[in-house]
Amino acid sequence: MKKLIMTSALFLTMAQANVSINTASFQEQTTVNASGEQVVEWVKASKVIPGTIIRYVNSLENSGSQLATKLVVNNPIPKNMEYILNSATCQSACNISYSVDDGKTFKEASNLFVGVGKARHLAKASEYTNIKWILNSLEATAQSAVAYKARLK
Amino acid sequence: MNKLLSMVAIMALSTMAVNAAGTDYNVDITNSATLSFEVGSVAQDTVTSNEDTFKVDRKVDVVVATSDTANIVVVPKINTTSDTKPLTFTVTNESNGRQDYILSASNLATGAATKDAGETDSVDFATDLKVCDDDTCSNGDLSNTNIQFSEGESKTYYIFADIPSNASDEDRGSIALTATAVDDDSTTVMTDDRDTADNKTAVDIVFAEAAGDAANDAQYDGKHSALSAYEVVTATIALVKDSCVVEDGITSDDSKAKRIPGSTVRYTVDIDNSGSADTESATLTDTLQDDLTFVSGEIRDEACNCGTPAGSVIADDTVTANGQDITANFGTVTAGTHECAYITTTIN
Repeated sequence: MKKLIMTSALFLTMAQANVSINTASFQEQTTVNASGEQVVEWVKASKVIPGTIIRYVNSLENSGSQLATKLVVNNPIPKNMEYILNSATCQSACNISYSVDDGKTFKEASNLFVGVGKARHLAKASEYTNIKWILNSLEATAQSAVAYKARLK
Repeated sequence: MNKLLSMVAIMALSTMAVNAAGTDYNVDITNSATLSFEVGSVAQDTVTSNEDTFKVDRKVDVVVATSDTANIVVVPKINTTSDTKPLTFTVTNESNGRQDYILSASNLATGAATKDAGETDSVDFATDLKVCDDDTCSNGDLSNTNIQFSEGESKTYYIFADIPSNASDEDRGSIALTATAVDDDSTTVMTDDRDTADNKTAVDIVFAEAAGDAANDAQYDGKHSALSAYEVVTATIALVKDSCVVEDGITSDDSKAKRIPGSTVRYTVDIDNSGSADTESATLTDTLQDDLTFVSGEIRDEACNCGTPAGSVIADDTVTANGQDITANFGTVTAGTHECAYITTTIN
């Protein structure tokens, strides 16, 4: 009896996860509708003067065929923008932390301190330098987004 | 070498001015983020997002204020320029960059409320209004000429007006200084882009100033104004003449004396200063009829009482005659008082 040994080439199709990140800025616009009521919308930021509040949205898309995990978005806050405390959000479950040392270290807001000795204090909004969002996973073909608000100094 | 380069880069970034007015216009604000992730527990290459950039627009904000703490007191007919009695204002550019303005002086309408509680404007000092940059107007009227301000700059300006001769005691004339934003290096009034379509890559203009004190100065209209006022403080003179017979040399009861040749007739001229300022060098001239002869005269410090002169004689004030021409020198008549010239004559 011959044993047929089937050897087959195993093709490992390593279809890479392809996750993209796109950033966009928005500002509030108040208009009056036909009924005379004020309508507030977020539009692309283009009329920005000191004091204007901007909402930055980082959109994620997994256009590959594999599950992506441990997604970490690191957004340095632009110079001349001041982060608005507690404004960082995410669409899917995430962990949010912040840096006051240009991204070297990250801590949660309640644990973010600046200074030593008597000068040690809970970081002020003006001292935040980076925001980090950590998402557990993003399915193939799925999208998500993380966002934050900041004010132009 | 690299460390030195990066240090210089950080310094350059930190000199991007962010002062009281905020980030300068035309500065680009760029946001970018990085993404790291794993597939099957294998770290993938970090992905960098696009750069989202917008330009900081022009926030046009100006504040005009008066530094006068009270109305500027004037008398009618003075030349406020040569007498150095201007209304004083400051103009401060609170925009986030250089901004040019034109200045103008305008008269507040009679009846409108002035800047001080409970007062209303009662006179128009609209003649020959001048806006000057020093308190002698040595550079002439700068109204409606382009004036450039740097970010945060504050300058002082002076308004002069002609005070007409018919201005009355206690008249209040309010005048506003208005600063209007104009295009760079021009006198063309700026228009703002608040309601126009988006332009992410060009510098838009957004008016951000408050409503001012002049008429029709609304919030966000590209101009601001403040009021100050001239207050007229002057003497208000009224003269009342009277006469009475002192004695006629015949009737024994002087109170019944008649005007006959030989009678002594006393003329009185009452000068009443009901204004708020003393009148100085008050001189009355009068001419006696030919059939009267001047005897003597004196000035007293109370209202006239022809029959019984009231008050005390003011030694420095004189009544003199040159033929029939009588001159009464009242000198200074204090605000709120009367003086009386008693002129004694006889009927020829």
